[in-house]
Amino acid sequence: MIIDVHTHLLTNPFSVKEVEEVLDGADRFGIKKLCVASLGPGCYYPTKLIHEPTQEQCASFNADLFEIMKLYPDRIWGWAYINPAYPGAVDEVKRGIEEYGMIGVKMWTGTKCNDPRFFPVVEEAIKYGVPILQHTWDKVTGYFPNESRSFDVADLAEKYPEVKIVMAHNERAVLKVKHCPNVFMDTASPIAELGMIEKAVDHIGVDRLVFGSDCIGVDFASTIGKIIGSDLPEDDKSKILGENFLRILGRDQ
Amino acid sequence: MTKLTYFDSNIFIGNWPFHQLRYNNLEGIFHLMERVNIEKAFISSLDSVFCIDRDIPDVNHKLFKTVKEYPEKLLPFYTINPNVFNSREYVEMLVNNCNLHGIRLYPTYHDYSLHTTEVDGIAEHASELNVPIFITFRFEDERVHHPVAKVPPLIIEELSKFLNNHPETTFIIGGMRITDAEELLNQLTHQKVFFELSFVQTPFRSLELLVEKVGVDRVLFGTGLPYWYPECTTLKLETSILPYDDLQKIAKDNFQKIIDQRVR
Repeated sequence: MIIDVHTHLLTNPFSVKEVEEVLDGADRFGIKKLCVASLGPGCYYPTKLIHEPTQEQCASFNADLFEIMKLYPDRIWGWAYINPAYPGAVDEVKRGIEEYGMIGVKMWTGTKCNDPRFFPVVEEAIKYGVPILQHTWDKVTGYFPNESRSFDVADLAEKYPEVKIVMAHNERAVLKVKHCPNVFMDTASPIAELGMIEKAVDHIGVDRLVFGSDCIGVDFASTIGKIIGSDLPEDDKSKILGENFLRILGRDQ
Repeated sequence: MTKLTYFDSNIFIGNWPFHQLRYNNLEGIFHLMERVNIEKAFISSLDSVFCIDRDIPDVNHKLFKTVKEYPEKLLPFYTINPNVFNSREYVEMLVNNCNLHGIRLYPTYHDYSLHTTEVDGIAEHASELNVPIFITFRFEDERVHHPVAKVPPLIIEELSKFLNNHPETTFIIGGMRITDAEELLNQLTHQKVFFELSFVQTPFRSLELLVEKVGVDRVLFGTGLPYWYPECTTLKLETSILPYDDLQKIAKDNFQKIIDQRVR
């Protein structure tokens, strides 16, 4: 089963037509589950990105995503999106997991991931046994305020070895988290240098890679093509495309 | 999935200074082409991107020697820096002796303006020869450039002005995102400009969006192999909601139109 661990849908408001187009697009690649983090009405270029959402905005985005999850319970899994800069973030995690049945926590650029304000959220994720999808980018063009880098993730992972962190967008930074067995890497970037998946596997092992697309910001083809086009054995591709994430979630399907 | 075969407008051979590439020799390229059903391709020298001016003829000659046994399969595009040496005479030699199918320009990597009489001259010469010019708008995503080699993309206004000044020349523009292509198109009066696909990775249904913005007759299939995984581009076509005839145009027919216009 192919699971895309890292997607976004426009919400506030969401459009059933758009969701169904994305699901049709996923069908064409055999993607059965989309793990969605709702970043609100501006979740990809060139729309305006909301880097530091308020607690109320996060709650609203998650509630909207829950409406989508109810419409497509077999296809859409939700990440609870939070901004640790606000004291309600832990409550939002509770609501996401307990009321909405979400699979984990999504953190973007509200704070850096090794900011102490994030620690109560991490401890809540540990309590529920759910993973964290953590945005990162190691770039040479500068950073958004509070944008985490790979070594911030490594810092968090060392402090909390019990938490499972999916480090987003950052396959090139594989060596920075190699020593952290609780850090997994998604493939959600439009950087598609031939060999990058194989090199990541060489460094951290196939069990720590998961398929993510960053759809709707990125084309499914641009990310799943990296895995399908890799020189890995088919069994390894299956692990990256879905089995590894089921194991992270502790689910059979 | 739609089964297609391809003519690729953008493949490379050679080395990149900052990565250890795989499949970057002739054997590797043929392996990748066969893997994704690419029947023929415009091929350029990757070494020429970061090559100093003096050595450009050497890497072009190396490209010729490497691909000359496959004149119908690997169609060379030779790199020119029009401001450095007698381009006209050199291009004539490449046409007569080295199976030149197109000219490749890297204005930002080779640090020159498009607005010089020399660059105008090469565009006019290409028009006389009916060969296309491939202009690299950007090579890599700026976020992941090597820290000592941060090369900005071309300025769209500069590019559009240059293209519009040469309406008889065929151009292929590579390395554009859809937003770049849309902006360029808004400034373009030129009809013979094609948009190469390998850098179009965003957003969802990027191929369909590019076609909507620039028209199916302007989109050229290209993978950038072996730099990029070719499947990232082939899967866009093979899972597309576009009509089969449109996919054929992108996969092959638009490429064929370009080579049909070449004077041999």
